[in-house]
Amino acid sequence: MTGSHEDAAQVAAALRGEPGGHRALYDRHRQAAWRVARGFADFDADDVEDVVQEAFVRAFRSLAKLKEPARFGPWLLAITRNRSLSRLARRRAGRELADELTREAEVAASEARPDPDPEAGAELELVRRLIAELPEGPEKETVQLFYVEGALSARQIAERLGVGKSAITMRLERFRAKVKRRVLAEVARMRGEGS
Amino acid sequence: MHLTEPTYLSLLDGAMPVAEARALAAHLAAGCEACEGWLAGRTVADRLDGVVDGALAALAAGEAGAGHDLEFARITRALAPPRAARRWATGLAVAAALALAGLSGLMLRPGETGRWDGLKGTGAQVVPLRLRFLVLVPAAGAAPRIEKGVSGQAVPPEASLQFQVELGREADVVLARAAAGAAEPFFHARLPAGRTVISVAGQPAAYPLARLSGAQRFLALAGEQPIEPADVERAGRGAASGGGPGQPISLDAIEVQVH
Repeated sequence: MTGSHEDAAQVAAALRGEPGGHRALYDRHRQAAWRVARGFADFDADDVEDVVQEAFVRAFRSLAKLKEPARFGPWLLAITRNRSLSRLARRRAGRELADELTREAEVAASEARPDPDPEAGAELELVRRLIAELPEGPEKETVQLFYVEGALSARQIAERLGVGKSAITMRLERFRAKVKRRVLAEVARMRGEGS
Repeated sequence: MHLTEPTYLSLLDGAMPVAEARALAAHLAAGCEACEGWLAGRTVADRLDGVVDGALAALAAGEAGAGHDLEFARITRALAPPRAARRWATGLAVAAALALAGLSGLMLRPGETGRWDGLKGTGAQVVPLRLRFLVLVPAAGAAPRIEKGVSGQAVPPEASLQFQVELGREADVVLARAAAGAAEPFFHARLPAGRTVISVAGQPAAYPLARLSGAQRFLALAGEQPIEPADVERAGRGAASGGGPGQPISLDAIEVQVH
């Protein structure tokens, strides 16, 4: 059974009230959610833990609204990123802005049309290729440290490299945008083929 | 054609005409800094972000960041329905909650499901509580090394832990070490809302780990009313093998591996 099929089965189990369903989803996706949250250099270990916890609580509470249970992983990670952004906004600009940003789980869960599904594993291969194509320099170094080696948080990388936290967050976000542009191009290509 | 919010949403929603999608695909595949900048500046994440983050998170090997029982217990407690609704919960629901909590070692008793809530935030039913800690490791001839602690981490026996308690509102607070089915309280005071560094006689205090080894679990209990020794004892038993406090009390716990 593939990961997404397992997710679908565990979402169904959780919705039936079987306690193992929640636990299996948590065990399979906690690490990825944690990696998303620690990509924000403004966050310390406490923030990361809080964001991860909040994301799972929100996801589990909205599980019944999830239209594609096999997509639990991407959905959870979108919630995690939104919880991170909300937390940053709350910190930087007060609660009003944060409230505007808090429309993730419900919106993401209720979107009507399924995404076109680029080939399974294609994104991972794409990411590897994009990293290899990056010119040697601070961005590549940061991307290698954070995404490939994975031992340091964005904040720890800022400390190690002796640069500001916002610079590290920007480098990571710039690379993410590059990946997202390429994934979006693939989505557009598939739509262009009428799929 | 550069990306805009309507263009982006129409693509994701499948509403974009085929010819337009084909043109956009070519534009994005060729590379466009303006579109990349626009994507980087979006302040709301969606499923596509989830796909991208999933691929990025899959790059690194290793077990760092894997889940742990204490956090899962907190999530489970936060998922419990509001207290008024709980009175009407079916036996099956109670049994399911018990089975979940049992995984963590922080079990709830039937009929007491409304009495625990370690989650921060406005959704909390009792005093929102979070136990945090710093790890202080002495260094010869230098100031001690201080780092934020993360539950589950390994610490050397010469280290000590400086605890911090975060409360949603003013509360009576007890800190205790859970050991062999009992709780050994080492701090008891009424604390204000917000984050408080645990102090003794006005000085930040640290809990020494010397003479301890293996997994060490520390508990924080908070209640609006004074916490009684019997509550602490029950919490100690709960942290070891089940059971829970007998009055509305919040619980949080952290664990370190001393070696």
